[in-house]
Amino acid sequence: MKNIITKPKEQPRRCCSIIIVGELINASIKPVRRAVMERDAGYLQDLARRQAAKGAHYLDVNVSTGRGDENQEAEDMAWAVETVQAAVDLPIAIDTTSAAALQAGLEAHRGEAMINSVSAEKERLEPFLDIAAGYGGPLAALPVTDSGIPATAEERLDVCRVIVDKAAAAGIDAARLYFDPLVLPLGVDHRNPGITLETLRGIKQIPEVKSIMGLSNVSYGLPKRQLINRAFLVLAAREGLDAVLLNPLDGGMMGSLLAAEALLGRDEMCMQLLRAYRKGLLDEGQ
Amino acid sequence: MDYYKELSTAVQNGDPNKVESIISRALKEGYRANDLLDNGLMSGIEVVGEKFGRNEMFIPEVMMSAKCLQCGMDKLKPLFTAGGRKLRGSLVIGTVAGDVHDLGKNLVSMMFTANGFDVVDLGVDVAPERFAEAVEKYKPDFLGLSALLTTTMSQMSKTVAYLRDKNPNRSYKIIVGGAPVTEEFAAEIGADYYADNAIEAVELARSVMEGN
Repeated sequence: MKNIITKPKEQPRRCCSIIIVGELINASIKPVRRAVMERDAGYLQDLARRQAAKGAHYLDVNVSTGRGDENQEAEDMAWAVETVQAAVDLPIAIDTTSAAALQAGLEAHRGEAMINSVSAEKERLEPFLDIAAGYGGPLAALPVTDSGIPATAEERLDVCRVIVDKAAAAGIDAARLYFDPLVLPLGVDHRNPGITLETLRGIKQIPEVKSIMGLSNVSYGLPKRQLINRAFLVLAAREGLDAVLLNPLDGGMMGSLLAAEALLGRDEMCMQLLRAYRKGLLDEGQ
Repeated sequence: MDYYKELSTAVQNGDPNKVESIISRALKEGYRANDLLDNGLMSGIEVVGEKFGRNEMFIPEVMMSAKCLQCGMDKLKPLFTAGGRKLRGSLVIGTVAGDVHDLGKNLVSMMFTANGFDVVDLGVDVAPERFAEAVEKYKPDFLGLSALLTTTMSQMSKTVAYLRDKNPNRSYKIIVGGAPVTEEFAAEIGADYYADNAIEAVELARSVMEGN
């Protein structure tokens, strides 16, 4: 398999117009948690290289292990960011709920990181916006408040608008905001995906802001999860999703995404689809 | 007609209307509430639990079956108190402070109710003090702590420590669970048990109660 990010000086060519954030470096996955705790650089770097080779534009890094305090997570984040960027020439999505870890991650980062994520929770909103104001790069935002996830699309959009205003007050351009419409499991309530897509449509109506989604929660508790994730990705692409967290090693997922983009008329003469095919990015399996 | 088998099948198929109508008919014909619960509803949910464990049934189906149990229990409950039926055990449950996720906790809550436990659900974002008050008040056999975020796992550990300080010789058992929680972590913070999912939690509680 040829690595598509081989020439460090050249800006890597995107394999599709939706930004792909590789989700695999996350300490809630048990082997990753172990690697973070034992400072197993090789393990993280291997995961990073494999996701980069499959076309990820950003790599999500979450090092929240549940041990120690905020300082521990900050220390882990700085280590992980440096470790991953030593292996691949990609920006990182710094995935944390801790302001200290966010700060440490941004300081360790080369180039413009994505911040994942701010929310409307009291302890998170202003501290995160204050930090984000000092850096460039995309800022993922969750319409979650201290009372949890709003039930309806309209309530979620109200929270999005609050975040837009607060961001503006902190000097952050709305164009940097990537709102997550919040994905809840289909298996728990069959109306959940519909509410997510309705929220996504609403986000697309807010001037300048963009959208991002984590897919895998949708299929919780159901068999053939990958199938459900892929179908949901296609539906969201139709609504104009701008960025997505997914497992780039799932060739079926990347294939569904590229096929959807071509079908939606966003891939002139199917060039990106065919390029991806020749690079083996459309092959099923790991 | 074998009402027990019919009832068990209706629970497995997730058909609450059928559960209610079978119970009504059976009661009219003189069947005892206790027997309908044990031989009908419970035997049905046991099959569901086994199939869930083998990936032959899935969350939406388990939820429908649990709903059947709940409907059945609602119909039978007034008759139990008259006959003095003893519940299988009791559980106080909640999601720890700072965490507002309720899905996993609700599933556990449902499965325990469905299995004949008396359940007090404290909701989400529950402070250690509230857990302490609740165990004092309800004197449960089990306390369930749920956390979905790696960041609130520390609250889980604080809660267990707080409860230990309050009452070093507590008689109830603490079960912890949630996506980021591991068996190793449960042991580390001094919880009694770890359960990977709702079915496992209820099976664990049942085996503990039977051992008593």
